[in-house]
Amino acid sequence: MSDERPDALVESPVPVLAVTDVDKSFPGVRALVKVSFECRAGEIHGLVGENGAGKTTLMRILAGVNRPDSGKIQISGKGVTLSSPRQAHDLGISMVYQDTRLVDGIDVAQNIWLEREPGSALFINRRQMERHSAAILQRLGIQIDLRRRVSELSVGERQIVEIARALTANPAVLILDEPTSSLDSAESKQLGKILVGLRTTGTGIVFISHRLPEVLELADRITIMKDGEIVSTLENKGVTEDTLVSLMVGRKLSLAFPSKTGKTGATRLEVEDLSSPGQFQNVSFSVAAGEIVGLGGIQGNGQREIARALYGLLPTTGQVRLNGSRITLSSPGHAIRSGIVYVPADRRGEGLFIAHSIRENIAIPHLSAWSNFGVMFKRQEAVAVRETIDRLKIRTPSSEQPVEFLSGGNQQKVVFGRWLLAKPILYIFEEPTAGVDVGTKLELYRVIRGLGEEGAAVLILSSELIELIGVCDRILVAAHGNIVDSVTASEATEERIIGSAVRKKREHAAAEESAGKNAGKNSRRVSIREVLLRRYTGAGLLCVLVLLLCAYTVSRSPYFLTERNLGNLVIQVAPLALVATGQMAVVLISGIDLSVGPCMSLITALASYVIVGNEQDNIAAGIAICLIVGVLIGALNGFIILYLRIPDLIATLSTFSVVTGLALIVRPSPGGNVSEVFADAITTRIGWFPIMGSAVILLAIVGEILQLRGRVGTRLYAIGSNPEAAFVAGIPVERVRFFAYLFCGLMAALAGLVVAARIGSGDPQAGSQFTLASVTAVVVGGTSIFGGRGTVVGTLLGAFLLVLMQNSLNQLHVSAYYQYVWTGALMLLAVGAYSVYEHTNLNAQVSGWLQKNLRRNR
Amino acid sequence: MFMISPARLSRALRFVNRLGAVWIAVILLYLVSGLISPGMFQINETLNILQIAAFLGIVAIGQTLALLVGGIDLSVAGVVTMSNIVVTSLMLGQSETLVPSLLISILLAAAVGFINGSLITLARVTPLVATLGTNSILFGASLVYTGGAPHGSISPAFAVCGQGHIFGLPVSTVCWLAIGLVMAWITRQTTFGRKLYAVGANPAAARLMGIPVNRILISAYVLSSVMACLGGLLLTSYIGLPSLGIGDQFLLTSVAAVVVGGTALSGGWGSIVGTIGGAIFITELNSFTNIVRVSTGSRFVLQGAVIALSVLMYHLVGSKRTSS
Repeated sequence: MSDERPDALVESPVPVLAVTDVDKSFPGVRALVKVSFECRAGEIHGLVGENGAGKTTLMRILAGVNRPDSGKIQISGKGVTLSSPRQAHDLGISMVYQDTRLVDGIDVAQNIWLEREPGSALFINRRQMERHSAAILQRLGIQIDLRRRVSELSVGERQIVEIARALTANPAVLILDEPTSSLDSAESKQLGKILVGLRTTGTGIVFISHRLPEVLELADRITIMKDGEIVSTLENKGVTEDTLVSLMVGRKLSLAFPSKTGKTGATRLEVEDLSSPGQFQNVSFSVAAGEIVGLGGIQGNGQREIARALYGLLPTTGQVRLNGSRITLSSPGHAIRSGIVYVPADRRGEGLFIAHSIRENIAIPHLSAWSNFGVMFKRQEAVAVRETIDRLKIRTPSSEQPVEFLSGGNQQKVVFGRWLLAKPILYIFEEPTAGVDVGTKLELYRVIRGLGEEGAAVLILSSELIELIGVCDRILVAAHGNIVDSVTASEATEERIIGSAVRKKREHAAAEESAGKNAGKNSRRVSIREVLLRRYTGAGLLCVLVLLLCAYTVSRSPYFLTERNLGNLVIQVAPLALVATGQMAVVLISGIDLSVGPCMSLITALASYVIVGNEQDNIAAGIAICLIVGVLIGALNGFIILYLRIPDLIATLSTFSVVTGLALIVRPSPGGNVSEVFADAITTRIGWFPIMGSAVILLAIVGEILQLRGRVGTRLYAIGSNPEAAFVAGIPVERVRFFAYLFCGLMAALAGLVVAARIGSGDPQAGSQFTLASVTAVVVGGTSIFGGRGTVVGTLLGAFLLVLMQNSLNQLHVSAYYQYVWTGALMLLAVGAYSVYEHTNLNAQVSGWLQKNLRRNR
Repeated sequence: MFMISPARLSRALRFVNRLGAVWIAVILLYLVSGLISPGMFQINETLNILQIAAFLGIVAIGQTLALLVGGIDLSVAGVVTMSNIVVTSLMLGQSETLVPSLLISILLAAAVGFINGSLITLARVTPLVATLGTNSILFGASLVYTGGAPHGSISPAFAVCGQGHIFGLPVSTVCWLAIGLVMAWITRQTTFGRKLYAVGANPAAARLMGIPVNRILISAYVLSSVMACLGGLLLTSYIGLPSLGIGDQFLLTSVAAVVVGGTALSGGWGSIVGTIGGAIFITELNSFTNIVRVSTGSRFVLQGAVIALSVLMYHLVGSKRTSS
């Protein structure tokens, strides 16, 4: 491979990326200390180091996510300040994240070009986008159908799309953060080829990986980091894995770990052939009383899943015995009652009730023990909590202090402390000292050792090997969902543990390769037909429903098909279709606007004052006023939600009240006359068909095109589907959301104008039913209430179905009162059905069936 | 020049909050309306406000539970209307039917709450959509059931609850405060209450603590509906007649009372006692707008502004707590 290296580029005098003396501290941690690092054009620069060595922090600074405290960054010799992901990208630094940042709801081509699509200001040039994407993928030597949705790609394919995305800007430097951690060996090899290919084009590549053999195979130079510092940068000549490992580890034991007694008792936990599909296989181990067992290895090899399975959070097969008797792992409650407790790594997300007091946080698992017939014993609780606070020396003015005001260390003591009183048989700690200062770490280690001395069994998961070696009596090494080694305290070294984890990984890869696991893997093709079918199946079903309903009504009522009735039907659909389109824009970004109904009422009331007489100029001015008021209401919603940060629900509920009031102030009771010229214009018919109907259909077509090909459509889908990924891609999320509310207000105003024309006067209640009806039309039309999925055409059909049902029931002489019942019921049915469909494997089954049958038809 | 820095403002608000911001607002509003219309200071007028506040107060107690578990219950409006229609049409002015008709109303409400809770937990419908849907269904059902022209009335014995006085206090107020005390005790002193707060604050952590999250959520919605029903029954006892759409006013006011009372929208933070204050405040505000002869329209505007402003104020007071 070395002969491929273009030496001229390697020797290039100005590095394409140079970092000089960068410092970065987080509260309590010095993440980077005087880091200097450079990457030349046309080299692959490997970056290795243990978890927490500072690699990711360095990369986040380069990607513009975090800002350095001090130091210089130069790109091709020019000093730069990186303030946002977008800016870093524009300056030529592209980042491929370990956890991919793709938007599930849109397809491959859209993801590759998100926020940088070719085309005009309004529309995306799809053909050009596909051509460019195909070119990039071809350069990468990979075939992925551009119309596939990202959600159905394999992890490896997602990674490739992410790389393709990074290449759209022709970056000077490409940074890959552990790109191979979730790839199988064939995919990793492929990636290696891609990187070598990119190197020849002069791109500087920074390659972060835990897989040392890969780094040794690909890299021209290798930089080793440890404890936030650069240890050394080596030319990749004659370097071996052992050299790297010894440079990565070998940290001094700066902490005085509590001494180990080494005394153990009877076996407490026995795990035999425990498997969880897709997570880990045939895991067997045991933990004795007083024994502290570590579960280590490279992160993401099943350690966390094994722990969570023992706590009843994952489905498993195999046997688990606690104190000799077999237990079933069905739920956390069950695990706790059996004597297993678990301290998760994500303290804020899964451990603490952050706004609640220390007392409440400690008491929560003991509620039934400290109560009688459901009534708490306050005294017992207070005493026990005090005892825990004293025992763990939690520093707090009182037990009523909310835990959010405690330091990380004291918070962790609370999480520890809540379990001590239960005297469980087995403790499972995941990252027990993450985000904890050094002093408290030692205290926690002592607490853990103390638990062992009291006779409990302890299982610790940690990504810090030094911690495992310091605290544990025995360390199990996990790799690829298996336990591959068991090391006793006396012989445990970082080299040994990393060594067995890495060796196993290599064996695994080799085995996979020889089995030819990935031989016949082909990339699925997606036809236009399938894309359309996926998008419009719901709408098609709605059409069928609409036709059936029509047919039934026709057979029962001769009046239904008269021109007069059909004309009325269209006039009735128009306002609902308009307001529902606005509502859909908001629901697409997973918001909701409850104020549309009152907004329509206000517009009719307003119209009865400003749209009067027969002069066209006056009428035009009146219409303009009404539309501006609608936009202002939308802006008010947007302002309250985005700038005052009040949740959409309560914000639009308060504007609901305000706008209802305004409508009543403008016109306390129905009355006034809307200009006849205006009313006639809106309700004009060509033959029996009202021109309003064609306007709505036109609007739906334009809306649909904008959703499919417009820049705005992709942005709405991206934000609704994954706001985080949309932000990282550089989409101004807040601004788009604001405009969605603005648009919703505008559409409500348009709908209000149509209603005003129809009833010919102002009515402060005219829109009252439209809030619910608009939401119903949107969800019945197939838009997900959680955002990210939906079509204008579906919404239009939803609105049509709603109005049609009303009309049919009228024709059939059914009480009009039923409309409230079925509007609500239809909405619940639609949302419930969609959400059950999404959350069960029905979804996968249906799309599988679809694919199979489509292929057969071809 | 006199300047107020945001930090100082936030500190001042925090201090006010510790005293119970809502109670300070209640007293201030009372004083202001009394100064404008001295009649407000008369004991009868004050008792009248407390009597009227009872209906909203009880409904809002239920709404508090829905917000405490991180949801919302917009079906309280439909439940109040349903209770009103059902109890009058079953009681028909007779005393013998009193107990069964009350029981049937309460059971129906519990069933509605159960359906809300199941939709939210099992079918994973968002609380807003689920309760908006059931609200519409309930309103439609009341219309269909009565054919748009409700009839029936309450028995004279039942009228005591809404109209009578005991030791000089309105019975409705006494009922409300009793229910309030019981619910405050349940939420603060029982294991159920503690689980309620835990599920609202962090459902993922609650699950890891072995709390049956779905069961707690469903119970909260059942209780919310039952409270709405009790509020509706008391209101029915006060006016004596069935009235379609009688519950509609509670959709907004119940949320307003809870939010003014300091319960966070994000769940897990708030109190029944605060909501009692919130209900008094909203009722006071209504009677204040009557005194100064403000139109119905302005009253809605004011109410919307109060909701938004109180959320904003509690945001400032405990910036982390109320953010979602």
